Amino acid sequence: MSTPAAAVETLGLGKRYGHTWGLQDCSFRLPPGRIAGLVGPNGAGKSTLLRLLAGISTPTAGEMNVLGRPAGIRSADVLARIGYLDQERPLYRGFRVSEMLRFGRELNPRWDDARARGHLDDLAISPRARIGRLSGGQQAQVALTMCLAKRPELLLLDEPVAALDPPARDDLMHILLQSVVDDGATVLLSSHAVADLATVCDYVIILSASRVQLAGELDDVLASHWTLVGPAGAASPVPDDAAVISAVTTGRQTTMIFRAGQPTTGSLLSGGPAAGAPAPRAPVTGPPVTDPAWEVIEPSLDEIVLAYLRQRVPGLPQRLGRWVRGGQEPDSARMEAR
Amino acid sequence: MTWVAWRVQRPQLLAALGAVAILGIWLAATGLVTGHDQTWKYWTDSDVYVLYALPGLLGLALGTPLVAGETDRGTQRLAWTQSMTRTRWLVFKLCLGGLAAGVLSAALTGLLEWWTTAVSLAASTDSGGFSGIRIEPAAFDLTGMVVVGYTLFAFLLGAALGAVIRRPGWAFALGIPVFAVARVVVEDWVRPHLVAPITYATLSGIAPKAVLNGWLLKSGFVAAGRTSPAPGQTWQTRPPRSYATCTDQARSPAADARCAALAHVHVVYQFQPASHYWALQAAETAIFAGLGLLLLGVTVIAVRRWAS
Repeated sequence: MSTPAAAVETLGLGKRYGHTWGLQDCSFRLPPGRIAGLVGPNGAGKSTLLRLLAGISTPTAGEMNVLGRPAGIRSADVLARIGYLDQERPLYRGFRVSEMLRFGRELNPRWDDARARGHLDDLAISPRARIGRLSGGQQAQVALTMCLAKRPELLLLDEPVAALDPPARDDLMHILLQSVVDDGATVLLSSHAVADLATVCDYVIILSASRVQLAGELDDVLASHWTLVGPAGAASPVPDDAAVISAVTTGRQTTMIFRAGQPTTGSLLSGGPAAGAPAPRAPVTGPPVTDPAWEVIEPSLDEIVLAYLRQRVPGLPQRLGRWVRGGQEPDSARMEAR
Repeated sequence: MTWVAWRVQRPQLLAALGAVAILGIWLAATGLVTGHDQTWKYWTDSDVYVLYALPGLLGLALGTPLVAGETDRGTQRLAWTQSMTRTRWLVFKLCLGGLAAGVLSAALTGLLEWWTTAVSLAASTDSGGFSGIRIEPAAFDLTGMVVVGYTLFAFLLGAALGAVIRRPGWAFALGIPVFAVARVVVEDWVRPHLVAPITYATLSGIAPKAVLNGWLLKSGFVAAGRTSPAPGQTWQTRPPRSYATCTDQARSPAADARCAALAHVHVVYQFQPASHYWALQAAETAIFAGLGLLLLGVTVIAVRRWAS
């Protein structure tokens, strides 16, 4: 794998709001040309991370590098290369759609007006319509169009599919793939819909309790995790207890997700010494489980993500610990999987 | 970006233009009617007090939404992630808003200049304080370049408060008392000393024309040979007893002067003459412009440091 300069690189990045940390000790490296999914429950720090990268917010701790530039006040040429979609989809509600596009044209030298108009035409959004009169989904589409028409090298999208209906989600994913192919763009998008991510993303960052739990190539992540199902109360078949991401007992059955191949504290996890380095594509070995009482299954991305969200992390509120023991799915961690 | 700045600020700009237009109609109507029929006074004193608040209200109305109007709705997250730095974005908005504040306040000062003259010529006895003496605060505050200075100061005050507080309503509510305090402090304690006042001493007790046409700061009986009270003493508005008993019999200014000489006092007037009008106008405008520049710095720093 060739490793040109990373599109996004963070090291120990943190943001504190008053006494609470919105994001803590966040380290990962996103190679260019990837579509990366940022997943995690509400309040995990996804929006905080994207705002930091977009330059709207300034970090309290740590370092970051976006398109080769460090944090701080963004210069105009770096701003021109980043497309950012805020979670709240801010638009000028009194503007007409055509005025919103003119806003984009006047403020962006690389603005692609034909692309913007074409995209809105396809969606049957009239240029004369007032932004405030559009539906939530249409407003989301206009905001997204504004991002894409900048022809950015890095797209930072906060919940881009949240307000969209399923066909529109598919269309959006197609458009994102297309812009990666056409413009060589890197995409970092956050979502609750893990199933959507699995179809389009080739990189995954799992954020929980304001920390990065896992960051790596999707294929590596899928190949290095295993689900074990066995009787409740049986001795754990995994010798290394730290490799067990989550263990949930329901009735007489225990379901365990664990990670094989590399130690859990290795380069894929944040906080380790090599956290900033790219994840090596180590040959993944099968689980060393021979105990016939345990059944070995390949987990889906949803299951892996959920396991990380259930994981007991030092410094996590006690409540989450209870969820792990009781096997009860917390509301905030419930994934909208299809 | 000029178009963007105009389009984003269009509601405030049109509202301010409308307000100035309505006020112009009211001033024209009352000024013309009073000029025609001097016995009629179509306004109350409280109407006139509103005139003094106008530059502040106009400036704050244009200034507070400049940054706070965006941060209140979250649209700064859109504006600041286009291909333009925040500082440049702010400069464009400030230039357009400041230009509008300047042009509208210049129109306002022209209107008020005409109106105060019309009213003072028409009804010099009872015209709400407009005696035709422009150096007196009643007319000074409504005429000349200070009106533009006050408006631009209020505009930059509103922008700075909005950028720091981030809520346009609160910024406006706080801006009014801050503006009022700044105006009162400068008028009462700073303006009298911006240009050295003139002192006139007389034995006769009759003020000269220059004093009557000027802005009287202080006057009273002072020991002969002094132009101001001795340290620790105040201006004596009542004459000493020996002078009072003497002038009871005196029947002419010359006799009054003799009494003053006998009592070892004279009457001193400290005042700003009408000729100091433009010097005071320029100096006070410069003060408010300087305060405005400080606030401009506050706004730029607040916007550059603004996070999330």
